[in-house]
Parts: sequence; structure tokens; C-alpha cells
Amino acid sequence: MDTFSLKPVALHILLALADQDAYGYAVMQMVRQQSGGRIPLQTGSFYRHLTQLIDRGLVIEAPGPKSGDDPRRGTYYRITPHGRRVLAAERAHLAGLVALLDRAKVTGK
Amino acid sequence: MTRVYAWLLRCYPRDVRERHGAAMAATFALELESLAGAPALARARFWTITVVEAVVFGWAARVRGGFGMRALVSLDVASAWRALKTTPVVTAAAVLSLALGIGGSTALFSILNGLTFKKLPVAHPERLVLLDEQQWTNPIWEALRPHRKDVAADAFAWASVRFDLSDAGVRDDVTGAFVSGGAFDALGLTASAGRLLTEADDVRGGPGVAVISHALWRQRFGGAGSAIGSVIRVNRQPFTIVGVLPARFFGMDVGTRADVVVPIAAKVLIDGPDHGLDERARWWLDVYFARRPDQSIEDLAARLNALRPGLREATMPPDWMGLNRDRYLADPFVPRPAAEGGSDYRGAFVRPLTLLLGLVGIVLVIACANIANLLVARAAARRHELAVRLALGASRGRIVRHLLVETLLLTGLGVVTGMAVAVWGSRWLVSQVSASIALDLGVDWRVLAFTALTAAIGTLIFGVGPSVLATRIHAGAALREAGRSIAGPGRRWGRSGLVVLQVALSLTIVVGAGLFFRSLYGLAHRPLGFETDGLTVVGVRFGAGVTGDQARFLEIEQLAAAARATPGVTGASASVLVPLVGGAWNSNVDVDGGPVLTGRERMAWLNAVTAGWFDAMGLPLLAGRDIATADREGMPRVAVVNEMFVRKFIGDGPAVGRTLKVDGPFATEPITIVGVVQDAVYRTLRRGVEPTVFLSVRQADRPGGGVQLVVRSGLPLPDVKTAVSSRLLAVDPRAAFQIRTFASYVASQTVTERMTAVLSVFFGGLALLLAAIGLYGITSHSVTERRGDIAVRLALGATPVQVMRGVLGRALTLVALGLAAGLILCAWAGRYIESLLFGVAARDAMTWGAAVVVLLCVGVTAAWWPARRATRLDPTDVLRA
Repeated sequence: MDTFSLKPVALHILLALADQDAYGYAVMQMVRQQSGGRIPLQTGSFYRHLTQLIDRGLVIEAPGPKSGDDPRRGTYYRITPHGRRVLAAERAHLAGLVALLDRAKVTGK
Repeated sequence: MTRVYAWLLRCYPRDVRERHGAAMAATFALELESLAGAPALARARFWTITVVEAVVFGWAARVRGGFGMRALVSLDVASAWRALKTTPVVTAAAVLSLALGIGGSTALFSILNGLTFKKLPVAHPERLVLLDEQQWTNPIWEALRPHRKDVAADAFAWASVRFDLSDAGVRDDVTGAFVSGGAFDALGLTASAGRLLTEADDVRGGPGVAVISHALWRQRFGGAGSAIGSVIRVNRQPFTIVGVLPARFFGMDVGTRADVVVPIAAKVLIDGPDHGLDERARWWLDVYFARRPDQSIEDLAARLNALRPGLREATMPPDWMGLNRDRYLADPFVPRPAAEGGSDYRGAFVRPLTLLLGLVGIVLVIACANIANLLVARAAARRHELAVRLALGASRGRIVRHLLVETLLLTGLGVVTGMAVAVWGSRWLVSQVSASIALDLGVDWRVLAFTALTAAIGTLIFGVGPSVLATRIHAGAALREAGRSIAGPGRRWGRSGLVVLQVALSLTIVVGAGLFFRSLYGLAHRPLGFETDGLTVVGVRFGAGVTGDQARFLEIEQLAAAARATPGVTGASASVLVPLVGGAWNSNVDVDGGPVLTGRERMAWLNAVTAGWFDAMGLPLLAGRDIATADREGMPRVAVVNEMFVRKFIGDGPAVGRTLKVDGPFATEPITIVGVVQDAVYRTLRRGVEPTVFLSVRQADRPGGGVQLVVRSGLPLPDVKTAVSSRLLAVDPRAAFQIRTFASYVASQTVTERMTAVLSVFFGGLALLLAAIGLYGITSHSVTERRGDIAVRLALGATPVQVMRGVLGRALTLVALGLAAGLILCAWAGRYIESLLFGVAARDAMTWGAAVVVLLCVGVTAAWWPARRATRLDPTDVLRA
């Protein structure tokens, strides 16, 4: 397994694809929603991050949209099993961090 | 819009485009949709990020061969951006100056581009050829038409006119055109709805059909399909709309948009018996040819001139004789390339626009000089840091590259902001000149090339400095200096030179601004000769039923009487022309017993008025009497002349009682001068007073299709409009009028001058500000650098006044050098703007003197604060450090 940490944007993209396949614009909207507007994505930067995920085998292009869908939506994307593993590893990593934070006296005495 | 993105995508390397191009385009289209209706700021932000993202990361992907975040690391862009952010004020000032300079010049260039360079949006504009810079008669066109396919691929005729679309009462004017039936075929255009005109439509006696522009279709019909087949009134005649022109086609005249286009044959419907389609001396049509793909202009000209003799003979005006006749037969046909169409606006605006472009270019240079100074100072301040890097093993090449990237980033930001300024600025500028100019201001390759060129020049000017500086850093020497001085001595000469340049250029612009402002003032306050306040001009077109000379003469008198009787109106009268409103009428005049004049000297300007006109216009009668109602056809012909006419055509002695003759239909009948009136302007404000002969309307010539009424009243315009129009409609229910204040016509005479004056004052102020900043900067640094010197002098007993004088003296020396250079520049550049000035010479001493004084004051102000700081130095603090 690769030992690189996910950048926040990559994490959000994987999250958006975790439940179902989605097309580009839908993923962008989901990321914006999930991050509470803190991650402003536009087409160019989105596809940069997406390409990185595809190159690392975490995401693939899904075969084709369901018939009857709007053809303007463009390509659909899907998370791979490897991607799901990375997501799970990231969750474990973050959970460990949270536990550490809880133990340390972050909130003071 | 999505086409722009498809074009932007080409920044990315091919493999990225092939993999993701379609998906990115689709996603972008959806993003755009969601952005519809967002405020302009959000949209501007969106587009800026899109463009920067595409350009920067596309380029990075090409260089590094990867499309991801890491591509940028070795390109220093991120660190360059961070470095720029550490001095936000300097960066912001630099970006702003660049944006204004690049954006302003691009805005002016796109207007110039749309006006002069852009080709017509038709099938093969490069094959279009205009027949001689002259307009033609319909008989000549009809004689040419059957032969057109022998001479070239095709030909057509076009005439831009104004049409009135109103149903009744006040006119609803739009620009339109008469066109020959096969025109749209020849141009290779297809309708965006319905069909376009064909040869079959251009037949006299046929039903009235018209095509409308895309813009009119959207404005008045909402783009609905039901517009096709509906009926509009063109000069009160019913016309059926059969189609809509393509969206980008505006007509053959750049700057105007033909909203309603009808066949030439329809002139019979519109103008009735006055249509003049068979008149051999009425010149009104532009004739265009479309060359065959392989045909040269010379070949076209040869074929045309082969046809000429027969054509000219067949269309000779019957009452022409002698010189006129010979010239008519001999004048060759000269076709000229017309890929950009024709334009009345070009003549008026090309010079002022080019001049303004030069102004902005100068401001850009000044701004870049400032930026250069700032960046050099900043680089010099970082010498220590850079020297440390060198000592630690960084390559010199890398450091230079780092600085270059900073410069490029700065330019890039300036360009992107500048483009936004350009797009907005060009639209605003055109709208300020006139609401009805229609120009295609879209960005094309020429505009982009221009922007790239200005950006490159700007970068060269201010990028060179810091980079050169970087190459001369010696690690050891710099470390030893350990940050003692801020700028080395060598640097000062370069920076001083830049300040002198800035002052010189600023002086030129300020002088220009002063001259243009005075021109505008002189023109706008030119005494017209008559009273402008409360004067309204009503242009009347007679209703369809009013035909025949008697009926029309009667109507003219009735209309004038009705206007006079309107409550609130103190005076009203009718005339054929109103000064400054448009139209001109001249002829050769001979005064019996007057000085002998030849050639063009014999030309005087004419007008025909009814009784009370001079009174209504506020023109005082100086001798004799006014035109009276009794001066009608059959009675002895009379005229009133103005002072200039008397001076030129009569000389000394009384004018009243003399007789004159006017060339034309009644050349042999003597006309008696019965009155002399004060001088007043005739055609334009610039041309001023001309020798004028006022005839009586009923004795002048056949009445045309309408008349002008001048109405004087104390009421505001809307009230005048309603009161007068109802009275006039009572006289002729089917008449069409246009009611405007005389003052509005006067104002439109000074539009170009106003634009030039406002913009040059704006840029003059900007140039002054930038020069002041530059002077402040260099004086400030000079003080800091020489503080040791100054401290010693203070310690040795120099007074603050002496120190100030020293500092100011150095600053003002620079200013003086700049002024000297600037005055030479003004003297040289002056001749280029002479034609744009009015009432003031380019070498006007007062304006030059005032500009010098302004710059001296600015110079003193800019150098004041550093000078004061110098006097406050504490010698002990400075010398101990």
C-alpha cells in the first residue's frame, strides 16, 4: 500500500465517490457541500486532482451513463477497491489523530 | 463562451486533452450555467481563476510532462507568488499600474480594431470590392446589374438610411438600408430565421417585404418565431417581415447596425412619387462587387471600364452640359478593396483614437518605469539574502530564473486584470460617445497580439533591472556590506534617468490635456449667433396624402401657424434646414455689380425660411426687413443675406436693394436682397460662419417631403413635445415628427472633443501621480543613502533650511532636466495634434507655461516629505550606527 497522505481535496473526492458513481460536475458540487464551502473547486483544479487519483489507481472512469441521462454531463467516475482501502486507511489514521488529541490536554484543565 | 474554454484547453498538452478534454468541457459548461445571473464580480473571479489555472498548469504540464500538483514545484511559481505576497503594497501597485496601462491601451486598440481592421462577418470579405469612394445613381446600378456576372462573381447595391417605424405622431427612427435583391446571395449569408431577400423581391410594384436584424428581433419581438410574417410600418407603409439577418451581420457600414433592410424597389412604396429611382443625378447607392476566387482587382477594373462608355452614355443626366458632361463620360470606375466595409465613423474617430492610444502607451511606459524602480530597490534590498543563497551553493542561473519568474507572474497578473479592464473599458468608452454606435468589440487575434506585445514591452522595461542586478551580486562583497546601504551608487544613475523620463513624458501628456481641454471649451462656448435656450427643433415628414407643391406649401404655413398658436410658445417658424442639425445646401452665387469671384469663391450656402424664422432663432435683423408671407411664387424673388455674405460678395455700400443670381433651376431670375441678418454658424461648430443666403420657402424650389420647424418656448421639453405634437397632428394626422432640443444637436457636435479631453485629463492626472511617486521614491532613497553625509553636516552646524534646500535642489534638478526634455518632445509632437485642436495652437505658450508650473508644484510636493525627514535626522544616532 502506498504510504502517502491524502490531501484534503483528494479525500473529499474519494468520499464523494464512495457511495455511488458520479459525473464531474456532481463531484465538484458534493465536495463544495461537504467541505462547507471551504474547498472552492473549479474545473481545472478539480481535474488536476482527479488525474492524480486516476494515475494512482484510486479512481477509474465508469463505463457509461445510464440511458436516458443528460449526455452533457460528461464522463462518470468510480472509486476502485484500492481506493476504498486507501479511504479506510485514511479514516484509521485520522481516528488515531483524534484519539491523541483527546488524550492531550487540548482544551486545557 | 464554451468556445473560449475549448480554446483555453489547448494550453494543456495533447495527451491531457485527449483523456479529459471532453469531460472538462462538459463540466465547464455546467459550471457556466450555474453561474448565470451571478453578480459581475463573482463572474470576473471565476473567469480569472479559469484562465490563470489553464495557462499556468497547462504550461507546467507541458514542461514537466505531468498533470498534477507536483509539476509546479521546480518552477518556483509558488515561491515567487509567496515572495510577491511579502510586499503586498508594491505588488498591488505594480499589478494595478500594469492593468491600467495594458488594459487601457487594449481597450482603445479593440475599438480601433472593430472600427478599422475587422473584416465584415460575411462569407468571403477579402473578395469584396467597393466601386470608387463615391455613391452611384440607380440608373447606373440598373445598367450594371445585367452585366455583373461577366465582370465578377456577383455584385450588389447598398444604401444606409434611417427608417421611421412609428405608426403615428412622433417618429421611431432606426438605421436601415435599401439593398438590391441579390445582395445577400452575393454576400453568402443565410437567415437566422425565415428567409432573406431575393431578386424576386426587388421588383417595382411588388408587395413590401423586409428583413430585420437579429438585435431588433430580440428587442422588439423577443426572438419569437411569430415575428416572421408580421407587419411593420416603414415610414408609415406596411411591410411584411420575411426573415431575420444572421446575428453577427450589422450591414456594410461599420459603426451602424442596419435594423430594417428592404429592397431598392420598395423605395417606390416608401417615398411615393419622390422615390427618384430614375433620377440620373441623384447619387445615393454604394455598389459592391464580389471578385471571383481567382480574379484580381485589376482584371475586375479592366472589365468594368470596358463597359463604361456604353453605360455612361446611356445614363447621362439630360440637363448636364459642357464640363460636367465631359467629366461624367470620362471618369473611370475605380474598384477598391472593401473587406472591412465602409464607415462614416472612421474618418471622425481614427485620429483621436490613435492619439489616445499613444497617450496610454506613454502612461504605460511611465508606470513600468516606476515598477522598474520599485523592483530594483526591492532586489537591492534583498542583496544580502541573495548573497547568502549564492554562498550556500545556489546557482546564479537559478536565482536569475527565480527573479524572472517573479517578473512574469507580475506581468501575468497585470495582463489578466488588464484584459478585464479592456473589455469593460472599451464598451464604456463607446457608450459614452453615442448610444447608437454598434461595434464588434470582441477579442480577436489582433487584440490578443497587441496585448501580448504591450505586456512584453512592459516586462522588458521593468524585468531587466532586477535581473541584471542579480547577475552582478558578488557573494563576498555583499556579505561584507552586511546591509549597510540600500542601493549602490551605480544604481542611482539609472533610477535618476527613469525619473527624468517620467517627468518629460508627464509634461507632454499634461500639455496635451490642457490643449484638448481648451479646444473643447472654445468649441462648446463658441458664440453661435442665435439663442439656444428654449429652442426646440421639430423635423416633420408630411403624411402620405400631402402631394403636390400647393398642398405642401400650404401645409408648411399651417404647421408653422399651429406651432405659433400653441400656448407657451413665444415664436415658431419653418425652414428647409436648421443650422447644426444636419444637411447643407450650397450653390454658386453672383451679385450684380459686386466683386468678381471665380471658382469656389462663388459658392454661398443657402437656406429657405418662412416669416418669423430669424425672430424665432434669436437672430437679429441688422438692416432691411424679414421674409414675409407675401413673398410667394409669382411675386418678385427676395432674399435675406448675412454679414459674411455682404463682406465677401458685396464689399462696401448698402446691401439692401442689390440683386443677385443663384445657379440652379431659376438661375436667370434676379433675386433682390431685402434684409441683412447677423452672422451665425451653419454646418458645424468647427466650420463656423459661412456666407449665407436665405430665400423664401415658397420661392426657393419644389417643396420636399418634409420641413423643419423651430419652436421657442419657456416650457421644458416634454411639455413642448405634447403640446406641439397634438397641434401639428390636428393639421396633418399622418405626419411623422422628431422633436429634440436644439441644445442636444449642439452637444453632439462636440462628442469627439469631449471624449479626447476627458480621457487626456484622466491620463494626465495618472501620469502626474506616477511621476510624483517615482520622484518621491528616488528622493527618499537618496536621503536614506546619504544620511551619513547629512548627519555630519547637521552636526557641523548646517541649518534645517540649508539641508532642505540641498535635498530639494537635487530633486528639482531632475525635474528641470525632465521639463527640458519634455518641452522638446512637445515641440516635436505638436504638429500631430494640430488638426484635433480648435482655437488654440499646439505651441500655445500659456498652456505650456501652466503645465510646467503644475509639474514643478508636483515635484516640490513629492520631494517635500523626504526633505523634511532629512532635517529631522539626529546626527548622533546616525553616526553611531
